[in-house]
Amino acid sequence: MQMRTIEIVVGAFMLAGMVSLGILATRVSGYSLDSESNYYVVYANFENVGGLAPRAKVSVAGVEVGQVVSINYDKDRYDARIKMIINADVDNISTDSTASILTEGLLGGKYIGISIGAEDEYLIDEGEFSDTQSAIVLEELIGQFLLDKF
Amino acid sequence: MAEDLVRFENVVYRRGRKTIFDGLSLRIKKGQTVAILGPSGSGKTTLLKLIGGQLRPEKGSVIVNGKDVAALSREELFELRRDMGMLFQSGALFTDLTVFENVAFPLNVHTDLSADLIRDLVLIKLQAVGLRGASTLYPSELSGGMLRRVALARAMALDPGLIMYDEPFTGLDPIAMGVIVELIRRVAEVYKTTGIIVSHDIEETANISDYIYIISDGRVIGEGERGFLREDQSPRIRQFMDGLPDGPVPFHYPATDYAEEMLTENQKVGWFNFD
Amino acid sequence: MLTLIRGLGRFSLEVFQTLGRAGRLWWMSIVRRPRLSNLPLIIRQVYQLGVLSVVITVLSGFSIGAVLALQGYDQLVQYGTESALGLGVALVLVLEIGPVVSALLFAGRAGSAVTAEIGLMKATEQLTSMEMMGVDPMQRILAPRLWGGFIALPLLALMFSVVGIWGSAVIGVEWLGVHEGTFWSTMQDGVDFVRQVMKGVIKSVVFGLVVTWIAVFQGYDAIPTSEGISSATTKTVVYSSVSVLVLDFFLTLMMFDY
Repeated sequence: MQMRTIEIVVGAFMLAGMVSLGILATRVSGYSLDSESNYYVVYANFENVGGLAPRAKVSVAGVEVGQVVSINYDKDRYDARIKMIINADVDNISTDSTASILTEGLLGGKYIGISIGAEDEYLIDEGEFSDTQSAIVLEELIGQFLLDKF
Repeated sequence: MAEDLVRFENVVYRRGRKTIFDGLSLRIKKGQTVAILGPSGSGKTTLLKLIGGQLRPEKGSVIVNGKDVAALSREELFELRRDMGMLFQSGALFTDLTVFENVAFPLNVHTDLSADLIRDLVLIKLQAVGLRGASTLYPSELSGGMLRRVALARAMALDPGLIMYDEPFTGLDPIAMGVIVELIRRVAEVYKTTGIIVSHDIEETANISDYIYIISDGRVIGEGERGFLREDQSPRIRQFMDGLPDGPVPFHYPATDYAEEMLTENQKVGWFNFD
Repeated sequence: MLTLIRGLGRFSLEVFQTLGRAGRLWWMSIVRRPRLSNLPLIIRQVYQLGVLSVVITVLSGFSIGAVLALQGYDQLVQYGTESALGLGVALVLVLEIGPVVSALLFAGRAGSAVTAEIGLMKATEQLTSMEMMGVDPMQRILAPRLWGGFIALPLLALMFSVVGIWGSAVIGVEWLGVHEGTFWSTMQDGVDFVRQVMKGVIKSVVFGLVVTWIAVFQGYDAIPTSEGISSATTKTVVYSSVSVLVLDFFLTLMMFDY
């Protein structure tokens, strides 16, 4: 076969491979570049994070606006310090908003829900939630329920 | 007196436990066609590989164009080989290339000539071996004799100073053999190329050679100008020339005494003994 | 007893020698002197090894995707979780089956062809004659094949995964009636580009390296007779299949980060 033809076919082959990677990135994993670059960082301390894991979603009114980056133990305050990123276009979360750890469905994964406060000042990069609500631990809840009953 | 192009000095070469060359010395003068004859298994192909530097001698030295082949680096060796052509017994053409591309291969790799010039050079070489008409065919479409002619055209492509022929007459019909003999003779005459023919076909080889070496048991057992073979009376050479089955080159592989071995008790040969 | 120990010793010496020769081959052809002038030869090999394997790769990918959809649906529907079908199939394909099965197919189709071709070149003295022409067969014959396979396999694996996911969508959505939106969104939710897709890509890059290396080495190291070549071809398929499966385990272990 002619070298020219081979070059064209090989070019098409390489392209098909790249396109496959593109499909896997966008269509299959829902990966998009800009969501990674335009965000700001906020922190929140929780008494108990329950089963919250890194990469869990952060949502306002049930809509995903960011994700949890890391969870560390805060030695000075004896609680958990969470670092999360929030999309840059969601720039009006007031400083007195509450961050709570919620559960998706009865047995689903944990995520952070933000209920917006009333303050006119908004959280900025490296800001921090003052009001947080810890995870509801199912075992504690059941224990409480049984104690109340009897 | 012409200078030596190739010189073997007391070369010792072993493959495994078998000694192929045991103090081999010979010299090949520039511009001559030299035949190296010997029974099969006497290491003739090994000799060519030593010249090309694909093998290195255990002792002694192989000197080509004044350079010790074994002392050259890989790059220098490849440089040296550009001035050598080799005609392989099987032709060794590249099966995925056409006849034309095969002959063009060394030119493409080693020169910066334009495509037009390469085309002309290839056609000249193919015309010389009478296969210009077959230039678009693939090696699988050619007969054994034609393969060897193409291989010769390829070996000559860069007009090397030395062409080595490895058993060029084996397995050819008389006509194809005549063609190859004629081509080798013409290459030597026209291009003044030094030729080394390694063969066990005495008649054909002797006819086109200026000088003849006979090797056996790892050393040269006879040498001389073209006519010497017929006159030399040493038993080894006579055995080789006259094709006698037994003589100084023994018919039997070395073994213990026949009668003695037949009479000894049957010994345990393998792992199991069924008696 | 002594024979047994001696046998073991000889065996291990042979293994080490073979590994040494294989390493030397790789060093001589790839690392030592990479050349840009080899590019047309590499392109030809990408064609031989990659493009010519596309059909069997795509065909197998589609079938496996379709089968995964059928079997997965059968199990998931019992728990009412058939919406997770897309996610399950995509993860299995991207992480495991895509890289592994395409590498096995590649070993059978392209690897064996490379071994046979190089072995035959050796048997017909083509490699020797090339060397005598002052051309290094390591550079001219081996290196382009090593590069070609190394480039081609990851691309084939990607195509395999994509076609497999498409096949599962055809079966799952069109035929079994899983809701199309759910099928894709659960997939996008659960599959992460860096943590899953890239892991699959890394695996297939390693497999591409290993399989072509084995194939080229077996060809170059073959005993130049017809039996030698046929046994080398068998060895290529067996060794590369086993190495792919074993390496898959170790790669998964190394990249396991939960």
